[in-house]
Amino acid sequence: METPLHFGPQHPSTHGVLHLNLVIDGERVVSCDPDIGLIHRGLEKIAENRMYFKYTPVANKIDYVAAAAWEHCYISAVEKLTGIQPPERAQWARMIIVELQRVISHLFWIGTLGMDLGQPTVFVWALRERERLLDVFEEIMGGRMTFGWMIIGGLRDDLTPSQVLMIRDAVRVVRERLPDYYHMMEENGIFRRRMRGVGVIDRDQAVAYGLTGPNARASGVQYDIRRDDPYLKYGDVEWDVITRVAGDNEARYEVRRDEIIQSLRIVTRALDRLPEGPIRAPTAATLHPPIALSMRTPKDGEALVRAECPRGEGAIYIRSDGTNYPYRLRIRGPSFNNLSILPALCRGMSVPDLVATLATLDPVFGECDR
Amino acid sequence: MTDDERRILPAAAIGSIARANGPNDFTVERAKVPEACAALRAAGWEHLMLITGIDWKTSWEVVYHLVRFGDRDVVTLRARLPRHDPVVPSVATIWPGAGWDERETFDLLGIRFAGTPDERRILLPYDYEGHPLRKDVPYGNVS
Repeated sequence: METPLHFGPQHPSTHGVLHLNLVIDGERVVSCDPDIGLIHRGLEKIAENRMYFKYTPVANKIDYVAAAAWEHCYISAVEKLTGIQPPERAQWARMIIVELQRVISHLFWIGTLGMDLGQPTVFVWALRERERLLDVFEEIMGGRMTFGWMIIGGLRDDLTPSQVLMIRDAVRVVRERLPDYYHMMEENGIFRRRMRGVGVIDRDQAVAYGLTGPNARASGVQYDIRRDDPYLKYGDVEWDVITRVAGDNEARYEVRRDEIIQSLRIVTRALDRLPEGPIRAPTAATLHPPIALSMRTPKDGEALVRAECPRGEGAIYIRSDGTNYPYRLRIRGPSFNNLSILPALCRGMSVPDLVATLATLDPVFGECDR
Repeated sequence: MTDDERRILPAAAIGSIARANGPNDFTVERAKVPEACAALRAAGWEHLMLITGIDWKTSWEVVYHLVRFGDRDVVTLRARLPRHDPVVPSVATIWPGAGWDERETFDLLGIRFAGTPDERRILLPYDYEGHPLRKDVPYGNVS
């Protein structure tokens, strides 16, 4: 007998405000109609009514689990539009922060995955390590969740030697503790059964639905913007792109698990090579943005910046009309596209498998609903 | 994008493409959008990154950004739509995932995508009236 079931938006395993209109037959999902947009804040409309430099705090809230990634994405879009080049030291420091943010985001994801599969221990552990990194963020940027640390043309504050030591210390602690999680999760029979062979996405499907980031790489799509279109200093350090071909929950888990290690590797190498020098470009735009920026925005110009955000390919596309305000600002939230595969994917799945699959797709609804 | 690819693919597939802003930037007649997208997808630009609608007050513009994996270049396709008739053919048959992007652009700007499988709103409530990202909708509190 087919039964309609409202899954969310308040259910703890929906990762925020996702509402699924499910039709189930016993334990099987017959159809699924996601109802998203519950926290739509009109971020694109807000952008059209704010001066460029005033949008940074809003850009932080596109994805509130990985705010620094979007702060970087927005700032570099404006820099590309206005032709401002941030100095070397600023670029290295940004890369360190963006990669630490990826670790924070993936740790949070591992924790919520454990919670969805009935392992609150992993959640508590992951949040303990995340806390350690958030302390580092607070020390460097003055905020734990949202920052406003990058400014157009550079950084607000420099990294001090003691902060560098603090990062190194935190990286060491996280690296030491990661194997504990792996044992906890991978040696658990329930975890294995909800992961292996469940929620399989093949490469063609992943491309057809616009999946990016770890979700696409788990299906064999060779796509990592950090390597394909290197921004910041990704071309100058050694690291590996993690891919799998299975495309199931386990593959998505493995990709993110190994990406944490790679991100920590990038951070360590970048700290070794962090050059001395100024942290702001010597232009008026970094000193007095309201007037100086409007002189630099082209009359009929545009800038498209894509970046590898923790959840996939984030992009910001700005059309300018030569004023202080963007004429149109478009945000590509990878969670939105990653979630679009869900109706096709979960047909015939059991409800507990759906919860596990949703967890490995890792949607964040700030980014999805914008 | 090499010169060869540029010559072979859009020019052979579609007669009406002209460069707009740069070497990888093409303006397409709106009826030819699916044909251009299919040609590009077949030639390796298999990732539809972004669909953007823009309200130019006297007309509409729809911008498609396409990516080839492992390539730095992003191909831009643009179509202009007349003010009174904001309709463009859907590309959801080429990329099923484009359906959601098209729903979003319809939801916020009121540009219709003819032939898209699901014509409902996506972000705003289903019974919402109007399209808030249009330039004639004032910014501020909604009563």
